[in-house]
Amino acid sequence: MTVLDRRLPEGFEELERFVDRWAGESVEARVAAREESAMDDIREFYDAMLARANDAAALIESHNLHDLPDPVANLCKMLLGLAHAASAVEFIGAPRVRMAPYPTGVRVLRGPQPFG
Amino acid sequence: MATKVADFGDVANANLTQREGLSTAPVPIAPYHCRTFFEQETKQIFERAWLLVGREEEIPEPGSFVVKDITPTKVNALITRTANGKVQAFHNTCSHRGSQVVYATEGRQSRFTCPYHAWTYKNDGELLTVPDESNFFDFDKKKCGLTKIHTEVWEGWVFINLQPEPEVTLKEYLGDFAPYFEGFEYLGANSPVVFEIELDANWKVASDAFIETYHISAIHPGTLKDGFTSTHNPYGRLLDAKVFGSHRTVSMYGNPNYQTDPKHRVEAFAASLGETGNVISAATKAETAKYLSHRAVNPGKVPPWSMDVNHVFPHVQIDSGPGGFWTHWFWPLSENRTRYEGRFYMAETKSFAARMIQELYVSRVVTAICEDITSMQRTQKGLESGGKSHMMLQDSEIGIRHHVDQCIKWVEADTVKEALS
Ligand code: FES
Ligand SMILES: [Fe+2]
Repeated sequence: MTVLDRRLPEGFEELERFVDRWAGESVEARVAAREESAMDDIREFYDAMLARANDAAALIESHNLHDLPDPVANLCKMLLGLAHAASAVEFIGAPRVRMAPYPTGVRVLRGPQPFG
Repeated sequence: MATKVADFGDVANANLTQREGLSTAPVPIAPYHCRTFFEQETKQIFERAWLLVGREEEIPEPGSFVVKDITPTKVNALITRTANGKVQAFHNTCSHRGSQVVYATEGRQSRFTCPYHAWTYKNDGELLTVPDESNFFDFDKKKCGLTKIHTEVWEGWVFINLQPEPEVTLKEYLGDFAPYFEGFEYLGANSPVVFEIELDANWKVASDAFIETYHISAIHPGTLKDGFTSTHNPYGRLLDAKVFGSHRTVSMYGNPNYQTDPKHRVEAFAASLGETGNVISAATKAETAKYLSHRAVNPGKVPPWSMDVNHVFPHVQIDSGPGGFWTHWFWPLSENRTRYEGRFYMAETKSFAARMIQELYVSRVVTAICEDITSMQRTQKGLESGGKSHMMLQDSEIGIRHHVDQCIKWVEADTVKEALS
């Protein structure tokens, strides 16, 4: 990978493969990432991201949360995505809520800022 | 009758239902699926009651406005804040040929131009300009303003009344609930996270699911059960309940020994980032303490408490938990369809740690709502099938019983005064 292809800050190259799915711009996009992934893929992201969570948080905290450079913003959105992966791995044991219809129809009209 | 909350020794309220003067008989279910009853609710409840339609923070400054469908009525309300700070609702209907004047659902502008023929109104309703005015007959612009809807603000809550002349004042409508709830601290009120879903269920089926904890063990085993039940109170019996005319409050049990499960590693990670204090509402310790000290928040002031539901008749619940408040809005669309809106008030933060905790909270809310969808929709189907005429309610379902009782009472009452008596 060349420097130009990088979408995450230096040192987080091993997480690049998760950017497309897990760095969703909004809460709705990150919920959809959970709902539309296979459980094995969620677990793979969960393990990889959790292993680097402290490093990622330290890097994000050294910037202004509301004005992050793009690669750090992607990392931040992925950590927020980890919250949704955790719902699957730690709480419901599946990508989607058991017995709920899919699509669920739940919309998040306004999420917390930034990346709501 | 067995003692209820007394079973776990903290509050000695046995048999809330009879204490609050309610019957213990099975409850009719026709109000949940009968189209005629729904039409009567529209006329007798929604077109007569004071309706909670929003909070003042939604229109924070002069010129701010929101537009809302006041279902199940056909009213589309334009709610503005004028230069002098007054909040006023109008029918969003042009005096010319009746087009909706404002198509946006929110914004900031002090004048509105009807898109059809460009009649222009001020945000206090006054008609300002009419293209080719001289071609109209005996035209009096003063008489052609937007039609006002009776509007009152109480403690930051915006209420409207669709009667030509309200039979009772808002204060009379709120009755004893007003002094009980006055002074409540609305932490983080200016920045709600907003969830929406259209449900194939009657609006009461939806609101019922949010005013009892009996279903939590079965429906929310992974997400909520450990917080709302314990070995002392395995079925999540209520701490307390109280009725105020058509309104009501219930206080819910919380597991006093609840601890983050070590398998919840992402929560543990977020907590380890060291952000302390109230990260949901960003309130200070003093503000949070003041909020918690209010008589309506954990009214028994007991440790095993999770949250309270304050149901403002007919269609809104204001909930209070340890970190702040949130609201559920049940907008009826038909006898078996409802637009649910959840507003969870969370302050904008500069701290990543706080933002991470907010995302965890939001993720938990989304999954919990999804867990409720199917049982609500299957309940509607079961009710509609005609196999049953009544449902059985237990003591901790008092909020449901009181709500159905009140809906029936309003439908049958000839006057609002009678409905409130
Ligand atoms: S309908 Fe509004 S200007 Fe004609
Ligand atoms: Fe529920």
